[in-house]
Amino acid sequence: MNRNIRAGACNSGHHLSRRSLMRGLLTTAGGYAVANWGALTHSQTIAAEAKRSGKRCIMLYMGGGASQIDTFDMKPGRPTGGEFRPVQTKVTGIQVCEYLPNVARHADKLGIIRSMRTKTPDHGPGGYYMHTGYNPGERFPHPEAGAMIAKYCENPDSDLPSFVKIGGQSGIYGSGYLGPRYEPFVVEEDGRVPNFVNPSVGTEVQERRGELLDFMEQRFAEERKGEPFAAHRTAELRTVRLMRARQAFNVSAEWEKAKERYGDNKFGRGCFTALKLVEAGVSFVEVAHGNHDTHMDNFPISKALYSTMDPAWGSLLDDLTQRGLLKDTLVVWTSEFGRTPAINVRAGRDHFGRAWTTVLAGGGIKGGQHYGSSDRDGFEVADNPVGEADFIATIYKSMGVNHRAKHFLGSRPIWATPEGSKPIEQLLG
Amino acid sequence: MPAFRILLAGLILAAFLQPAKADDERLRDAIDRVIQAGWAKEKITAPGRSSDAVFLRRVYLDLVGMIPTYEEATAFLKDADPKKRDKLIDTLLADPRFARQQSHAWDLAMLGRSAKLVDGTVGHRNRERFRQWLAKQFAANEPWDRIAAKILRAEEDGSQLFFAVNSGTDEMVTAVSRVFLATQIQCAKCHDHPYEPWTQKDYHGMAGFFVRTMTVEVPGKPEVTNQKGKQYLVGEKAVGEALFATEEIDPKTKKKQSVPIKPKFLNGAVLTEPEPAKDYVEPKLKPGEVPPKPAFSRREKFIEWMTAKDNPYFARAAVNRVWAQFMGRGFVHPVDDFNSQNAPSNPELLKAIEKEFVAHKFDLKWLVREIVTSEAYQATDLGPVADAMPKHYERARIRPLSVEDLTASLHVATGLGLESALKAEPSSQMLQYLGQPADGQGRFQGSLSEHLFLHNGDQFRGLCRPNKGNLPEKLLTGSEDWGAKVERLFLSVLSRPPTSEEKERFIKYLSADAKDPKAAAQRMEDAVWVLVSCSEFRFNR
Amino acid sequence: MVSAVAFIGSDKVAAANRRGDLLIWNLLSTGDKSPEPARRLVGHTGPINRLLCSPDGKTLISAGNDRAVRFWDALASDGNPGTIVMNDGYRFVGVTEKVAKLPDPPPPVTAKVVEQKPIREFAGHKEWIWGLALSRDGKTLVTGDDSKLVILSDAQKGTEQRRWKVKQWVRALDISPDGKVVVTAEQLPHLSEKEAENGLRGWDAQTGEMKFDASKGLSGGVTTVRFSDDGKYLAFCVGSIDRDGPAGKVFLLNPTTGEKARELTPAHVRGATDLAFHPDGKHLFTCGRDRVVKAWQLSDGAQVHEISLSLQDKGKQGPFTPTLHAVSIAPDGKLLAVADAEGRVVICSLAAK
Repeated sequence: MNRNIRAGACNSGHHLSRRSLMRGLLTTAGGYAVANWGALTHSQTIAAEAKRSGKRCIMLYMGGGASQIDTFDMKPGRPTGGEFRPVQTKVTGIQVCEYLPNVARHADKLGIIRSMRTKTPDHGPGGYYMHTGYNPGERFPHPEAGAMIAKYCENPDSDLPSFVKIGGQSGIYGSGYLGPRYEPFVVEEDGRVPNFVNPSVGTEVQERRGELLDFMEQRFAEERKGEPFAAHRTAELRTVRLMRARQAFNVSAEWEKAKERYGDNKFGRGCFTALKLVEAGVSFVEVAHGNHDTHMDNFPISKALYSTMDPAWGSLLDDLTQRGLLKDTLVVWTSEFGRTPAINVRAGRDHFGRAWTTVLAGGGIKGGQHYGSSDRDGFEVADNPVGEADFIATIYKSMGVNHRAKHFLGSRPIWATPEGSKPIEQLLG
Repeated sequence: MPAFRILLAGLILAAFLQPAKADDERLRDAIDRVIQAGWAKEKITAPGRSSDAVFLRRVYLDLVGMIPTYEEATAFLKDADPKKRDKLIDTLLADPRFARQQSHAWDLAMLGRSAKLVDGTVGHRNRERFRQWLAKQFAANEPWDRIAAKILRAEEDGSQLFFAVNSGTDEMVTAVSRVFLATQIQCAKCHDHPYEPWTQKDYHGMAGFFVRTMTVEVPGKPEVTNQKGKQYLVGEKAVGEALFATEEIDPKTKKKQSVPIKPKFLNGAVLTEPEPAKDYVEPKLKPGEVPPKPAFSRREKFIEWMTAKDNPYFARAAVNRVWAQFMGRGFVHPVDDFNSQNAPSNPELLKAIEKEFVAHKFDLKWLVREIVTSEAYQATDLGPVADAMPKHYERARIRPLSVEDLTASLHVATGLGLESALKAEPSSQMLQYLGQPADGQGRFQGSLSEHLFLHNGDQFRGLCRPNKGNLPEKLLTGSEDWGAKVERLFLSVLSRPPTSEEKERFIKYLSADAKDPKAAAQRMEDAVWVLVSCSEFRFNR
Repeated sequence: MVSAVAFIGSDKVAAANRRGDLLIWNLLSTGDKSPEPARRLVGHTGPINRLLCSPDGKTLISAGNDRAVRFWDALASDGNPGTIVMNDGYRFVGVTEKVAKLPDPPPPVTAKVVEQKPIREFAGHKEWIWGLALSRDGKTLVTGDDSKLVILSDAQKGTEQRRWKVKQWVRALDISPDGKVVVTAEQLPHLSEKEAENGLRGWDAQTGEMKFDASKGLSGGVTTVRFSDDGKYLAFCVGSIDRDGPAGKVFLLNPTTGEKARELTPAHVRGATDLAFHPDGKHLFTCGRDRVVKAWQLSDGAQVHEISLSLQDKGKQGPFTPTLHAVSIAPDGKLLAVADAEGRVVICSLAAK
């Protein structure tokens, strides 16, 4: 739980118009409505909408910063081009790295954003930016995208948590002002649940003491209708259900058949677990693929990285397609930043945020297209720059979540993504 | 916007309808008169009074930060004196635990749960030193204006953490305004304040008082814990100005021009200060050294202004905070956000309390006593209202036990005694899983982690399991009948006797495997676990 | 950056880089003046990983990421005239943030060369070739690639004789002087030590069956493995990925069983990259990421000499200085050539030793 709640933070970029202020504060002055009435009615509509469509999201997070030039924005023949060769995909105009054959098969589903321009070349702040869309310097408890999507897209009847992180190595930024209900549920890198999900007492004891607890809670609640009590009981219920449903995380049996395709490694198994969780109704699953920070020997190391990344990602898209889930499941490929076009003296590439690439697929994304581009050697965005907030806004919009949904921290209004952020309409169906 | 006009009109009307306070009226009675008038106006049936057991648990948690022991609980419940509530309040206010509990409440109000120093998180040892310093103030019943002044002077050993956590000028300005003045002036830093007539220049005027203040880290002296922690010294330089970047571009540097802003109080008065000596040279500081006390201290001038009897912000900020501490919802909510668009719910009552508080020389204990003695504070915990903090105080507020309260209460509940309860520190897991159980609006949210921790973490199990000398073991090995054991269990954990239905159910549960010692021990553990896991234990209501 | 180097006889040296350039210099008999390249071997289209010269000194063999093994006439001096710019590197290194304008390239330094084409190519590989070795009789070529494939072929005719799969990507290999054992250094590189898979295995050259597996306990990726010409020693060094501390370990193995015989200390800092046996049969030379060339005495494993190469660009001083990638020793044992990532070949005289 990395919740940086800090009282008294003021969100600088969000200068309010006088009018919206009066509306927001009126309720406080009158003291009638619930504190975030404005967002609540609105949000519920959005949530209902998203629930109807059953939208889900899987985020494949390349920890350390994946190289754009070696994957989806290749510069053959240029001094920055590096050691990989591009191959033509079935979509005219889309070439990808020769070491991404499985992903290449899905070129018609990919929305490739080659014009990411982001603000920081440091891992920590970069990770925060790319998970929340906001500047970490604000020291404001922004939720990460997974928590926001969990809030608006979760199935309240599901036994499973709505936001799961497979391996915490891509950073845990938390649910911030959305509260602990939307905290990520972090499982091991290979998808196994942490130890404390396993009941510490036998089933019989657990059941009988559960009944006794239930008896106490029921009697207590008869004349006490307070929300906190209900929240406590609900959390207890969700916990018991999770402990019962924890087998959903155990994909061992099916994994035997799938591992050949996904790759018998942690990321492969993580992606397969993500598929199973999405099938079981989890709203947001993040799978981390680490160690892209190739400051040296970029090419052999990247090739090795792609050898585990590509089959897992490609197979995930295969299976989602085959099960008819891709339409409602957004698969995001992202990082904290890209890597320098320049190849350093150790044959490595360094941190680079000025022009890099992320990829979206499924979830209604119009595939088979590039969005934006970088210049000849990849040093600068040539057209249609996309910032962190635009990227997160695009994810939200494709999930049916209003990227400008308004919430409150204390009496301060705060929006899902910052003012001025724009979803990429060209990619949205 | 017709809705706006109607609501505003209603509010003004309400203010006029409240009968005026007679001069010799005690504050507690004034509170009840106004709150009851509110119910009448809102057509709310007056809530009943809390039961003795509910009051007992509430007032213990609120005043001494833990539930009553079995002995304390039975003594109070048996007492037939009609004045026993007032008596208990007097006892608890005189209890050393009151100062400790207040130190926790104010430390959290000032620094928050996850305060971070410039280089790392405020560790337990740093925090404990500050809390102990605060507790000393509360134990001596230092008036609030003096405590606040001491915190801002930051000279006493242990008092410096406020500045160590809020170490940059901006952070100082934000924290001082928020904690002591209940205003959110930091919004005027980057743009003119959206709710108030404050401009960016006002913000930087305020910054002028703190721009010279600095904190340095020095090795800590041996602690109460017999280990060294970091310590801080706070000093003030004799020169230095708050700079304000104007929109004008400097032709030379091509950057926005920065102009120094003279210190200015929030109400608009500009500080008059002597001209600094022209030949003054700031002494070079060694690491771990603060500058000598300046001949003219801007921060001292700010303290004088802030704690003055007629300061329009200071007393009301404290009153609102203390009110919220015991009543749940401040007159202004959130507690630290007074602004012209956020009118107080009971302006006359706020004003009256504020006036009395100043007249009583900022006596916090007096204020606490008046509030908790009121019928409004002692209202029932029952009723159909769902809100954790009912707008009209028609039911007692509900709040989760803080991890400090919870840790101590678990020790009391499982019969480990007061000494053990006072010594116990919240574990890091407890802080992680139960430390901040609320969303951005302070609404309670249960999390999976919290309940997984309750179910499967070692801590709760360890306390609930019959173990050398604890209550579960005593009950397991004791010779009383099951009925007496269940009585004792309920009074120890929930501070009330069981209902007959509960008694029957628990006797049945506990006695089912009486012949098998291992199974019986497990059942005892289960029963205690159920009582410490249920809502009734988790919340202060 | 110069990635590979090989002597041709004792008076010529060939060197290659990661852009596919392959040049040959005639070494001057006297003086410190840098010679100019005489010949340019045109054909590679990607990084060249390995270079070697046949024992008779007549054939140069190169291999790299363009999946081709190319054979060159090591001695021919004729060909088409051409020019090469020695400093045409793109000056982008270090540009990580927005720059108003990329720095201008420095004035070109050109050299007149003779351009030559390969005499033969071996196209049996479909992946990057990092393993390249020739039997001591010059008849059998052994090559290995990133698809875990090892191929034995006739070095003269170019015909494939045998192929087999090993366990991981081949990073280096050698064949024993008796031609019976192929030893492969294998690796799946990864920045995380836990995730990397490092191997060192011996294979029967006749059957492709594994004879020994010396992978257990490897502290990093093996960069080079090599038998001494007399077959008494099998040496390997570790350091395919830069690691802090004395990570560049050098070991001698029992050439038949693959059991560890001796660790040579002190290790190279941050990684050892290449090794070469001295023709005297008594010494071993290694180079590393620490810009040091070390000479070891085989009889007792003692380090007998150390040459530390200084940097031309002092700005690159620090933990991430350019690496020395490869060493080669002249057949007469008097000169040693080092491939320096700083874009040069350094020739050291061993006469003084």
